[in-house]
Amino acid sequence: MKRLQLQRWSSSALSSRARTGGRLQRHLYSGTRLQSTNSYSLQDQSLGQQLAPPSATSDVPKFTKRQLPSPPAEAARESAKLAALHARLYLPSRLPLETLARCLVDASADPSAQFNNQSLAVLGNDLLSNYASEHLICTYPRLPLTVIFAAMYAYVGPKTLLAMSREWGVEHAAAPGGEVDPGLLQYKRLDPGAKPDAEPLVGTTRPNEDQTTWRRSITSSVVYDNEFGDPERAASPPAELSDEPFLMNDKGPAPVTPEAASATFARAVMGAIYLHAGRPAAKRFFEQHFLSRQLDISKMFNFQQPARDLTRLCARENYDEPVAKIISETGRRSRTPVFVVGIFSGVDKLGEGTGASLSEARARASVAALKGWYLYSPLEVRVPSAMEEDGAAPWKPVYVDLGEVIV
Amino acid sequence: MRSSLRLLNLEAPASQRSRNLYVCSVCRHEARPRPFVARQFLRHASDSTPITERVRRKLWGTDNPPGLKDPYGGEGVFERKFKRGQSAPQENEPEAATEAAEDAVSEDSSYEPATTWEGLQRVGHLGTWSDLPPTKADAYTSFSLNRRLTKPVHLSLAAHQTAVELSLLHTLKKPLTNICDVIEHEQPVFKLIRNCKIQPKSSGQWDSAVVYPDKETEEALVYIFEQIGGAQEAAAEVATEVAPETAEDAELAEIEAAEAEDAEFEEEVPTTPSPPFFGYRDVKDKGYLDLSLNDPITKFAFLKRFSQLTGHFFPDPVIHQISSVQHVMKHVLAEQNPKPKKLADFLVADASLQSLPNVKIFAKKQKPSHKDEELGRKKLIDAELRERGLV
Amino acid sequence: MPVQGIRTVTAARNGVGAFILQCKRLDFHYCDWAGSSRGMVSFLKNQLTAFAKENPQIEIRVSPRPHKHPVIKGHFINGREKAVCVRNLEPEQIFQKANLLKQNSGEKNKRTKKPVTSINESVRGIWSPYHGGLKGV
Repeated sequence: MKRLQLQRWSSSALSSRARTGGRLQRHLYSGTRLQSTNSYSLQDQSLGQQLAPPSATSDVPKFTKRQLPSPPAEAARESAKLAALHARLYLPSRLPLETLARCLVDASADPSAQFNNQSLAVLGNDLLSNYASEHLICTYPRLPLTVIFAAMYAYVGPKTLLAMSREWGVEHAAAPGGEVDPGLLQYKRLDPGAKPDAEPLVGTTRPNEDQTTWRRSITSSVVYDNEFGDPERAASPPAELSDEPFLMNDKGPAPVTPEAASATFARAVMGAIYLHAGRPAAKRFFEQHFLSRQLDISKMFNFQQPARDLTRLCARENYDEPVAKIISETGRRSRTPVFVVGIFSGVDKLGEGTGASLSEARARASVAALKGWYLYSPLEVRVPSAMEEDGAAPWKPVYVDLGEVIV
Repeated sequence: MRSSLRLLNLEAPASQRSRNLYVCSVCRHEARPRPFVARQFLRHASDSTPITERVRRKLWGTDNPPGLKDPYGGEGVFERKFKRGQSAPQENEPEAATEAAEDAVSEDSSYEPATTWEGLQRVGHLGTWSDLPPTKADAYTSFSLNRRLTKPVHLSLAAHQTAVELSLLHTLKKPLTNICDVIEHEQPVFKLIRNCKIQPKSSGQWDSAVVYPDKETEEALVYIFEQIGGAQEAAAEVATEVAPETAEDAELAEIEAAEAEDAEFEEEVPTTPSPPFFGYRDVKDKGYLDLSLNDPITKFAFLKRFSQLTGHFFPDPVIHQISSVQHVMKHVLAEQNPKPKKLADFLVADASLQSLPNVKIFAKKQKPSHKDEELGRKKLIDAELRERGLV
Repeated sequence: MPVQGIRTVTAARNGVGAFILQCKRLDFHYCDWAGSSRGMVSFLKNQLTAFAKENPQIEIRVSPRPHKHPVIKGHFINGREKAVCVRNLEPEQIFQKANLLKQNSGEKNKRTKKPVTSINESVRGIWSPYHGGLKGV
């Protein structure tokens, strides 16, 4: 079986900093980064002087660490925090400390794409959502899309990634800078009291985004939105991502929340493992750190009209019309009556529920019946990425249901 | 004021106070003798013999008790000064007289220095020796070098030189410590010594361990070392009288003679500070390190000469442990790099600890400002303080 | 919309997949001068290398704290820190204290009444009065 040479493709994400070679280039890059506190014109002049003799490394002027937006690559070897984090996450030894240090630099701290974790995070996010979604769909082939989105959010959403990076023992720097320990997560913090989600998101991938009153279907969010069913900001064209830190405006990059920064970090780690240690290591990392977490999917359903849904489902699946029957009851005339209601389709009992009233018991029974349908899971689960292993058995197509009923 | 009075003076005010104020019975018991002493002392203040003297007399039971009359160091500074100002011109004469008498005594042919104190009327100087002018014997010249050599080059040169000298003396069957008479060799002699190599026979024997570069060197060195010790000057005279075989030998002999004279009048000749071992570079031959120092006489001679050349001293336990020249060098070099006193220095020097990436060692106490710096908070604090004009 | 998903966060089960050691940092403080630090100095000289090599996931910081008793301070993932004073202790005892901090969860000490706690559902299920062995009146 032919396989894609993803390592070769990934050279754009692995910049000069992550590679072992290119020391001269690194020097030049770090030398040209003087964008911090000096006045703009001064920077421009010094920049011009530096760029004129590009080959002479001795011309690199003396700069203090504080002037750098993020710690230099050499500092990664001296940081005990970073080495401890590397060992704590059981990261492969092929993943160098410098790359891990780069994973900890958010784009809001260092806008230069050569030094921040943006490219790694993009790759890591794709990997994470790929692995999580294939796991969910193959394990629960009948889940409704909304629940899949919620489950995806629970597995690889930003809140989970924030919790994970806390549980990994990642500390956050107060402010990014060259003098900061590279083992700390660095991002530009929001001002106190600032609300990050105050303004509506603009520039998303969704068409007609200005029409807020229009109905947004689930199917459209599959097409337009991100893996959690949320509208996503459109990817910026590559020209804006290019390595031009000195063309920054006065305000600099926008501050981000700790949640966003932590999520970017966790994704970047995933991407870095993939790039340095390969696909098996990345998958193992996903299984050990993400999939091993506990999630009760049966509690993620929120039904509006379960009885109606069940009727539609039975009609779709050509079952007999569901009928609710009282199985037992107690204290009908008392203050605390209890009814046990079962939903039957023909002679098969689909679900059972108890409630203080007949309608409540029926609704609970319908929910139980619907959950019994939606939460079907095959005994042997095999995900498509299992085929990437050497000597994998031939692929048998997995059963994936139509999904939720359309009312 | 007399000395005894000076001493008791300190207690007088306390005693007076105790008389006026209320004192409990126990304290009064303790306090009572003091005014008594003071009064006694006051009563005898006009007496010629002070209280201390009378106590001494009572203790010894005689009117002439042995020992100093004033056990508290004699007169005070001001008294002495005052007295000297009065009677200085008078005292000079008797001093000169005593000096003359001493000279006469020393010139006396029948004078024989005593070896024991028995039968002597007095031990020590007759007059006040500190007033005498300095003599030749008073000048102190150190046996060893005044400074310690610290560079490894110099140390190994010194060890090599010592080894060559001692093995030469071994072969010549002369007393080994004689070499210490020669404090420093002249440059040509040193060059000859430096050119020699040492190849010890089995088990680090000293006999005939020297390998000469050529015959001439051997002859010259043997000739020089024959003269060392014993009647040096006679040897030098002999050397000058006897027609030297080669021009070089003659030169060397002259140097040697001059050196012998120099050694005598060391303190008179102003020595110019020269680089140790004339700035020669290290010897390549390391054969001298294998020489054994198990023989106590050889060990003593070696260490004596080595410490004379380098200024390093060896404590007894170390001397006991030393069994070869290698050990000596090891000890001396280890002395150069003493163990770090601070734990941080020790840990930083530990290579195995430094190779661990998760360990960080700080030499200084970590303060909150360090944490601020590490978190990147310090620049914000600085900026804020600057903005408010507080820095 | 027939059914909606409820957003939650997955709960960590440390040790089910990867195990994250809860002690993330150990600070060793000593005094160069004081005698109460003698055991600590000896520990740092002789045993720290082996200890650090054994526990690469712990960040180890060694810094002097003049005129104070020696202290080992453990920082934990839950944000708490625990300090142990090791004055006049032998290196062996200090090693035990360091191990104590290393194996600690960082939580406040509390009495464990139930031997097992779990976030999983009970396999036996919850007893219901309406099922099984119903008795007619």
